[in-house]
Amino acid sequence: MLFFLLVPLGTALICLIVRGPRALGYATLAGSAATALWVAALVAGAAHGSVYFSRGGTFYCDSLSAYILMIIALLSAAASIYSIEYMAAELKAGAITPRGLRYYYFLLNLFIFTMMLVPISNNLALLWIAIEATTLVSALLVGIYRKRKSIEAAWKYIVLCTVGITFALLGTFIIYYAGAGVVPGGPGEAGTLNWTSLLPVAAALNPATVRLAFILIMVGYGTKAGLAPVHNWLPDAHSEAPTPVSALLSGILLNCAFYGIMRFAVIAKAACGQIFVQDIMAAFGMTSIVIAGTFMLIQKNAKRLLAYSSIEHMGIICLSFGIGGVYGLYAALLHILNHALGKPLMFFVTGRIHSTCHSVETEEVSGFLKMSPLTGALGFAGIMALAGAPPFNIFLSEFLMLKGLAAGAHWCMMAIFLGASGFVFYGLLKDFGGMFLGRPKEEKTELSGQTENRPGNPQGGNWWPASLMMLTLGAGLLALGLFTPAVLDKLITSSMNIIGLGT
Amino acid sequence: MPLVKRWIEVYPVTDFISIGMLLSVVAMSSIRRVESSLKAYVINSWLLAGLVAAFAVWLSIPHLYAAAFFIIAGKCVLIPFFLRKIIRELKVAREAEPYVSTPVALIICFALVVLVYSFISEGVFVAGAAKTVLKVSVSIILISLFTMITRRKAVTQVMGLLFMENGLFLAGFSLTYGMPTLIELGVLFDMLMGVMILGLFLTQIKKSFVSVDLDKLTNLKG
Repeated sequence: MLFFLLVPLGTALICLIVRGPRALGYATLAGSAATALWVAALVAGAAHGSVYFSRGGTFYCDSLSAYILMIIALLSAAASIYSIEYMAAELKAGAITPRGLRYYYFLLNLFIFTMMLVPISNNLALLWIAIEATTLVSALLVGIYRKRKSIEAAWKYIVLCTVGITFALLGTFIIYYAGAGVVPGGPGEAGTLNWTSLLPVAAALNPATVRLAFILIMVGYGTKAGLAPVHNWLPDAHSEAPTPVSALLSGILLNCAFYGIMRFAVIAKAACGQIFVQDIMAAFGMTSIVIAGTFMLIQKNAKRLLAYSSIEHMGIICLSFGIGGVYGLYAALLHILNHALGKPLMFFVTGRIHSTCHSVETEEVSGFLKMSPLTGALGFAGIMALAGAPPFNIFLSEFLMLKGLAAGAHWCMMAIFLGASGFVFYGLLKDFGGMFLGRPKEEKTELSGQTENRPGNPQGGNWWPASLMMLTLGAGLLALGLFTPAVLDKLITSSMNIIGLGT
Repeated sequence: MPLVKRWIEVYPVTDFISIGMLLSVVAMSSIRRVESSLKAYVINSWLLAGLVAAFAVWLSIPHLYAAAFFIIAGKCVLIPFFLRKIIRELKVAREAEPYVSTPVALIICFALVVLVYSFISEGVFVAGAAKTVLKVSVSIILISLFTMITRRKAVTQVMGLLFMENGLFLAGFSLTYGMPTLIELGVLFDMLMGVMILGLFLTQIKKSFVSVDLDKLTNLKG
């Protein structure tokens, strides 16, 4: 069942052989569609409580893994559709060479492969290897344009994340040390680092050792998950990467790192009490929300603004997880999906703004809604969703989190969160409102009027499958705000059981 | 073999080797010539491999021999070879004036070591070798982090990162006598790829910024 991993890897290799930009795009699309089908079968099984083990138990898939896998498969399919439109435009505009395009698709598939490796790793060191591999591959993707800014962003990204993740490896070593005396098998034998064999004995681990390990893990994977105050790489990498890659970075890469934190948190909860784990996570979450909210007020670039919004949403996920209880955990897991639908949609819209107006600076663009009604309307809905306005899905999970805060009587945190989300609302709407509403700027209208000369757009306009995909994402934002499908509910509930309600 | 084993027990070989690693990282933090600090790295890696081999003999854990071999292949041969090539290609002979002078850097290194020794309590880690070696390895990690922050050349940042990883390996071996071999191989492979990719970006930085001073990388802020 877990062999689906070979599909993205195989697609990556195929991309080295296939000729022609369209064929590359279609090969990637076919690969991610096949992966998505496979993952759908896996998710259907996991929702009914099946657990998949590979031989030897190095790989493992339960409903929590299946949930993250589902999000990865969904978004990598979306990103492959969008890549066809976007990269064709970049090729025409001369931002990338045909050779660079092949390289791009190769790395994109490899990136998807490494991300899929994360949620099904049972071995905690393999988890680390997979997360570090996502850094290495995506750093190459961030720097793919070889412009000054993108090289700078990629350099910062790889150096900061590698340093950060080094601490996570130290934490993993320490967990291994803590487990060596307890887990049957003894040191030096494979298996003692398996999450499934650590969990039953977690209560017997030395609390002081696990506490130290968890702090290191939190700092290490927190760097990768974009949690403040170790988030500094994120706005640069998100704003300089090609737009489909930004969508993947924001929508799933951050969640992959957060998945690592979740797995360790389960062990740490059992070993040294939930209060300690929850306090640390709540503190990281709150800091991220406040810092992101503040920085969003001064952003001038739409992609950077979205990047800070990602930090805010990762903060919300982390805070919800830190609150714990039924509401908190449900909110955290639901928010992972909600954010993963909303943020990529906004990146895709921003990409279209870029190919229409040749800029994503908030002051240089206005009246996009008039230039491109469909994309503009989708973008406007996406911004409302990201800002947490009803009736969209993000409102639902944020509301659940507030309910959790109220249930735990965390009034002070609630006040800070509400204040910060006011900042976020203002920051997002001020800038994006100006871009969508108003009158198109004179010189820009001329440019966008010459549809046939416009660099980009493979078929002279927005490619319809990409529009369809964006419409689906938008519909998902709305639909999940109104009701939660039974399968999703089942998946989240059984994931909550894995994490443990913290009793 | 039994003779060597007794030797390792009688003379605190593991302590000597780990202190040697600490000294080489202090040397790196005060050396300006880039190729010399690469040499310090090679010495550091050989000492690490030696320590792992000593553990292997002392505790008779066969898979540690394999680990020592992989460390020699990766950290003592491949990575230095690759880095030397890049350093010659980029023609960075010397580090530019760092943000802190050498004496101040040495004092800060000293302070870091004192801090680590006073903060890491012995209650948490009780296993034999971990007691002293863990302190050394955390000191190595902190000193190399400090060096990464205060240097201007991108190459030195890579060096700092590599030293940090050596410190990490030292911690890993002192805590657990090594991970399963396959995992160690995976970690080493990731690090090798990381160095190659950093090298790739180094040449690109050189091409588009005309130098490898990190002062120039200030386009992205806030």
